Amino acid sequence: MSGGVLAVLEQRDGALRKVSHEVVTGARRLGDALGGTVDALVLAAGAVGGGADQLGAFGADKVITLTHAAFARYAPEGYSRAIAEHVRAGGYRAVVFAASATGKDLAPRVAARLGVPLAQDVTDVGVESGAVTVVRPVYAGKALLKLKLAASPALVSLRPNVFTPVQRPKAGVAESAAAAVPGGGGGGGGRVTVREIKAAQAGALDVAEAPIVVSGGRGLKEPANFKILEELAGRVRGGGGGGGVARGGGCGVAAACRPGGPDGQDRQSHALHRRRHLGRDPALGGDAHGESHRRDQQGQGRADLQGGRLRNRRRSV
Amino acid sequence: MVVALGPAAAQETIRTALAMGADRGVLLQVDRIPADGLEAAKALAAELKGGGYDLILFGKMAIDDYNHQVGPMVAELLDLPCVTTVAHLEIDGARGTAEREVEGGVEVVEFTLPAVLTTDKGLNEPRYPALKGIMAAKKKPLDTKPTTVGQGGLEILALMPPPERKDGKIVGEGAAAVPELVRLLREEAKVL
Repeated sequence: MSGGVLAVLEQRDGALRKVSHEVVTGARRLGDALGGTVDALVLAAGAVGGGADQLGAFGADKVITLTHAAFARYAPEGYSRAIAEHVRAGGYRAVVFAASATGKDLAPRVAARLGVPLAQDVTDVGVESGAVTVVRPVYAGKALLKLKLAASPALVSLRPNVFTPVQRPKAGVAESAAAAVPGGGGGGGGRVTVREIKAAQAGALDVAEAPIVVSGGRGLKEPANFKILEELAGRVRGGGGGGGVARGGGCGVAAACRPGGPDGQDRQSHALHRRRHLGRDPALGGDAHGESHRRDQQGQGRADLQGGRLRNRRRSV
Repeated sequence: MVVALGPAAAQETIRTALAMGADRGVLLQVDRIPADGLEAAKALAAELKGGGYDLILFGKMAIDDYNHQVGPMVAELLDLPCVTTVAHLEIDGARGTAEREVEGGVEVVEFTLPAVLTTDKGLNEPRYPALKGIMAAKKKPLDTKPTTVGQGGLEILALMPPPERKDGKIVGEGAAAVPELVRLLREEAKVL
């Protein structure tokens, strides 16, 4: 199976997540360039729905479901051990993850277990003289870094909403097997367990995954006005879907707001900002974390500026 | 204890951490930080190994290269439980509960100590380094250990500016602009 590419997919509540088709598409692109097959891998407690049977259409030669009683929800240690084991046994040239919350947690673990480098959150993949290359945004999206992964397998995670799923009919043979989870503390699931996933308010989507983003500028002035955006987001149709805002999965809308100014980070509104105040670079398909990081950088100057900032605040009251 | 992998200039950062309350610092001094996060993780894991720490905290990612991987890699190398991008944390004896934001929800994660955590913005309000702390920090021990890190398997081919964004559109101000805005949302953006 030399030259093979593995696409690691995500399921939630037994249904494949939307980003999975993007991961298969990215893996197919690498598979074609490397001249290998593409296997799609999903870890679950049982059979997975939500389009797992259609992965062949997006370029998967084989769809493998590894099942384990502890795999209903994301089990960081169990997942990473099972995937590393599967990659070793399969001799893959490249492994493709989604740069989702789960994927960004999982990929480094697998990389460390395999002792190979990882490129996270990439916006483009390719192959140059036999080696996998990637492009990934750095410095809050202000620059792009092109990297060559000089190791096998090459591990990459793809930024959601960047790789448009492409129909590439392949066999999509489905296989299911019990997951082999080599030793370690805490049994098959490991020492870290996800107890529950508290759902966000109806219709709220992560900005990285939303097909439509409603964003407000400084004119909004204060967090109390964010509801204007939320109302607008509520009226905007998710791409191709029915009216209103769809919840999770298929289509939906995310609202992103910008605070009134550099001092807009009031204590009480902090949490709200962290969720809503997300920078997005349309050219890169969204940079959910960029803006908060620019604020991180501002925050570093806080110690020095504190006095001046407090004075400013008093004046403006 | 606070540890950093970086150039000599990182001493300043460690001193700030000491002023905020850490007791001692270690700088793993390198000429350059490798592009490959696994190499940084190996150097940090070697320093932390056998330290007997109950909790090892990382930021979720560096604000320059956005590698987003060193924390969980160190955890794997040390064979410790790990939770990443923690936004809320409770610790009760040898058990901990953390919350992390995932797409469309919040994941509630239970883990056992000792553990490695990477932190998200909003986990806490960083302590302000007061003058007393800054003065005390000057007397706290800071070990500088020359460190060599491997080249790793990532090679930088190019650093490029991002493609130019398309210009935005300003349709005007006030109520007069509304019909045009609605028309554009309907006909061009096709979202209404």
